[in-house]
Amino acid sequence: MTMRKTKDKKKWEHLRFPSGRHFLNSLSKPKMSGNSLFVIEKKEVTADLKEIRSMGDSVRDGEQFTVSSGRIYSFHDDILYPVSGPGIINVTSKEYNILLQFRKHPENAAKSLGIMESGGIFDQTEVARVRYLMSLMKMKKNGDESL
Amino acid sequence: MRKLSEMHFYLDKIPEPEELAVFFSDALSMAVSTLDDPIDEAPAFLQLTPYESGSFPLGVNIAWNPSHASHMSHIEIAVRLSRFCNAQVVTDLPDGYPRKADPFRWCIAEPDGSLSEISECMTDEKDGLELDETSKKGMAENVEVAHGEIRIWIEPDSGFFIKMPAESGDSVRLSGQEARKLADVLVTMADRAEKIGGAIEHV
Repeated sequence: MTMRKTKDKKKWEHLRFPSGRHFLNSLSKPKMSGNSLFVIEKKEVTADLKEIRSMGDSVRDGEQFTVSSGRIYSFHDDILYPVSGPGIINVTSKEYNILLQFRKHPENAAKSLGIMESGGIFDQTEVARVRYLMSLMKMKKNGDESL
Repeated sequence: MRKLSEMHFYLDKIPEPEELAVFFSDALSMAVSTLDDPIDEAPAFLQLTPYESGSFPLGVNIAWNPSHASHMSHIEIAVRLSRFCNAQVVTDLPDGYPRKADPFRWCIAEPDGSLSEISECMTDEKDGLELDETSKKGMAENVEVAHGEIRIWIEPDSGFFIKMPAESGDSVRLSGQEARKLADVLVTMADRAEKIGGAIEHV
């Protein structure tokens, strides 16, 4: 049993922390699918990574790991990425793009969101989700370093 | 399958925003609004995002009211956009493609009509997109024949396609040499389809 755990650990200990694109303070590249964002503290992601590295195959099902927090991760080469679970929000590319704009040019983001909302391009659920994520980004900008 | 109401692309050059608005308006058959040129009642909105790092300095997001439908997939638009701008165009892999939601896997369309699966460069992650050329795998091939070009491609959700884009609608006549060339490409594509999984069962 101990031998197996050691073997698992070696097998998965090369996995790296998720890319900045999944964190609200370092958004970068939207995609039509796979825009999963963390709305939890980085230390919680670090704990998930630690669990995956140490538990290895025992928390793996195919190409996905499900950790005790309920969060599901997958990986590309040696880098982990979030899939779903508590504290992970999946957004469309148009939502991600507005958030990216909000990071760089907040006034343009508000204007674009207004045009898209009035044109029915964003539905109410999407608008609410974007506004919620913008409020988290604002908190972060105002000094809350946790996200 | 969800109804398509947005597409996202990355370009390796920066065309004029007006040209892109005209392109998408024509390709999607709907009026397109931009931040600098808002059009009342336009169902589609085009957002352009410049990048200072990476090999693709422009991000292009086109989204529209879901009550309107696009008659083209994002792959078809990428191929057309690549030819229109004479640029490399990167977008998501086709629907149904394995690991399509992997944030580091992309599809690249090139002006010669080729379409490939490609991964991001993982060694030095930048704000902008940087691709790993060594990971490139062809998804579509063009075979030059005397009277034009035969295009072969794989769409895992739908199958394995062959198209001779001749406007006349005439049959395609092949020489023996061209037939052998086409057969070689078909075998290569069938092997790829088998590796991808799914597509071959639709043939």
